[in-house]
Amino acid sequence: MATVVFDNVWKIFPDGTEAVKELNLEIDDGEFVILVGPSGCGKSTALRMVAGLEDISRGELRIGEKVVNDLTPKERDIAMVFQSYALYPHMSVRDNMGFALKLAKIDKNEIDRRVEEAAEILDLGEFLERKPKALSGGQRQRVAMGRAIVRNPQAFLMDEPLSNLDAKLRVQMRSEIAQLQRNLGVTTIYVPHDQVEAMTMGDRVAVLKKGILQQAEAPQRLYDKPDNLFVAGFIGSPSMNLMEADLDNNPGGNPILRVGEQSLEVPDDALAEYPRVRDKIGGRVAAGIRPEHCFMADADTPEGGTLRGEVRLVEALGSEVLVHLGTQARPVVTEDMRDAVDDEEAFARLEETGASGGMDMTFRFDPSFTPKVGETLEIGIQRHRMHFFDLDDGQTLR
Amino acid sequence: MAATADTGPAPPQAAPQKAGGLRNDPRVQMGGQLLGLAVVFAWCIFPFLWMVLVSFQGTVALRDANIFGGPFTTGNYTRVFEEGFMWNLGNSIFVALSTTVISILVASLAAYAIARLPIAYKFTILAGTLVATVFPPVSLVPPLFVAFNALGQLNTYQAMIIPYVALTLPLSIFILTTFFATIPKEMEEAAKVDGATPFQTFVRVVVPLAAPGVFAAAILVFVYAVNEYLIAFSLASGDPNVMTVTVAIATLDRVGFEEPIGTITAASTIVSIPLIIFALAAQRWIVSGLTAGGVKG
Repeated sequence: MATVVFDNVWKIFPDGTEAVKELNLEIDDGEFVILVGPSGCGKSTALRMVAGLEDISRGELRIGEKVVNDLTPKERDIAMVFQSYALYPHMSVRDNMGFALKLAKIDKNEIDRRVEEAAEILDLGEFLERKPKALSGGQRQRVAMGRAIVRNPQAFLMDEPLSNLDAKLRVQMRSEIAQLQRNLGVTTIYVPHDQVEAMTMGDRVAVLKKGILQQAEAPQRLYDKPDNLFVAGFIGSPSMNLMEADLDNNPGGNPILRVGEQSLEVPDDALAEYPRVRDKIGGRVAAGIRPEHCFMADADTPEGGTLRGEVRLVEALGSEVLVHLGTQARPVVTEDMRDAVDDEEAFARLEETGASGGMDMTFRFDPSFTPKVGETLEIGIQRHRMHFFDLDDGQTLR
Repeated sequence: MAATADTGPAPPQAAPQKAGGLRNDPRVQMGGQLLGLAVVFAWCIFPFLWMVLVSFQGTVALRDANIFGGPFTTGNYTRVFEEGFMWNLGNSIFVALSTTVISILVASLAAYAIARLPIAYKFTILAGTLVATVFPPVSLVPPLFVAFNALGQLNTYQAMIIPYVALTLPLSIFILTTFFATIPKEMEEAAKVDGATPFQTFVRVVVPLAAPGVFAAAILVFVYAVNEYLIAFSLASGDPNVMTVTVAIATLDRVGFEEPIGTITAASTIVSIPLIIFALAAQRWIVSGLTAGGVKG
């Protein structure tokens, strides 16, 4: 068990692609760190550099106190779980799990002891003599985990280990892996398949965009206080409603956000949290509202605290209802958003609504609330929980 | 869709059954298939059957259209054994096995390199190796003869083994490359992370996974080497001690005025039987080996 430190690490492929740029990240001993980002952001490359499957172009990678740049995977003493599991089909579960130990010329009795111990932990005892093809998806996944555990390595590396499982099994394995990691206390770097894995499993989430680390924080903090537009747009599902709005001076009061013909007053709490918002008075900002930071407006709701719009779609998910509201707000259409959306078609639609003005905002309500499509709704906004970003550089106005 | 579902599935099913009648009867279909297969089987097996029957009869069979007529005798087999045919068979197996081992060893390393290393013009190289197989072998005989003569290596095992390896390498490389290319890269990466050296990865993970391809290539090489006649006759027919079965069969002597057809067929039968058993036992490997790459996964 050890720390893993990326010290100014670069990965430049022979064709000139810069997959990872100036990565600085210190992972504590026993910490569970999640690497997330849109496809092609360099998260897998970063993981593979730790594994020794990719060369490090520049910078230093340390595992424990040792610089491992030029060490083979064997000398690094790490274990990796692959997306496809990469179990050896011609070997039994026992041989699969013991392969690394056998290569390390460990005594046969010791191998058996460690394999059986791992099999015990993973509930694989009765399958030890089977070949991988005779196992279910979940069991194969566990064998892949077992192969990593028996090594007792310095660090676990996991590259979307749950993406080949069906939804139900994924939920189960998700908690099993998180629990196992806590019990074993092995430093772990994990590339998740989806946002839920990213938010629930790790101690810290590192968000990458185009090879550049954007923010590395505890999941909740990342969700509550994104450092820039990209992180704000990327983390969270459904994602944060991000709109572009004029910020007007309001003599004798707080600044006002112009959303089409409506306006939202920026409250004191938000100004305290985002002091730089004042610098933008008279200009434009990107303002964000998480879907759940809303309430049903009533007569007591102050003016400048609501958004009105037509209900375009109602999605009842059982535990909650997602209401898509057609508003007059203009969506944020910047490169950050293109990366955060990570889907050319979806981004093109966003650009279209940006041009015509009026974006759909998603709000999360209690399932008892069932508005009808076509109805006009006045929704209260928890303005003190709004986020503000600089439109030009995408940075938070905190 | 919904409308047809409402009417129920029974009526539409009943109609074609009446119309189809006998032709749709599964027993009749099965019978037709069996008959067709039987015809093809007889067509294919007949030369072999003829060979076996003649081997028990000798020249009598050439004069009598009824090949089942007899009289049957094992005399031809006795004569074949007396002429030292088992020694020739031993030579053939030795030459074929040596060829197979060398060819597969070299081919698997070459194929792995072509399949995995970042080499420029991979497919040109692969296609280039196949070009070697389009030369008519007879055109290679004179230069080979001159070369081996100059080296003083005519009538030796290596006079056959070396050309055989060269001639079988292209096909082996081709089969093995398509096989190695289908092995997921993650498998090798897993081995690497598990601490395997590239050679350990190759021997303990890649080759076992490519076993069907290795078997298929090995069988094809082996059968080629056993059956090869042209080079064996041209370069190694002068010494009875190294003579292989194909050459031995062709040079079986007449006994008196009789054509040596009986001994030839007897010898051929002896050679065929182990090959047939071998091929039947291994046919699963051969088929999957030859179709690999065509159908992935």
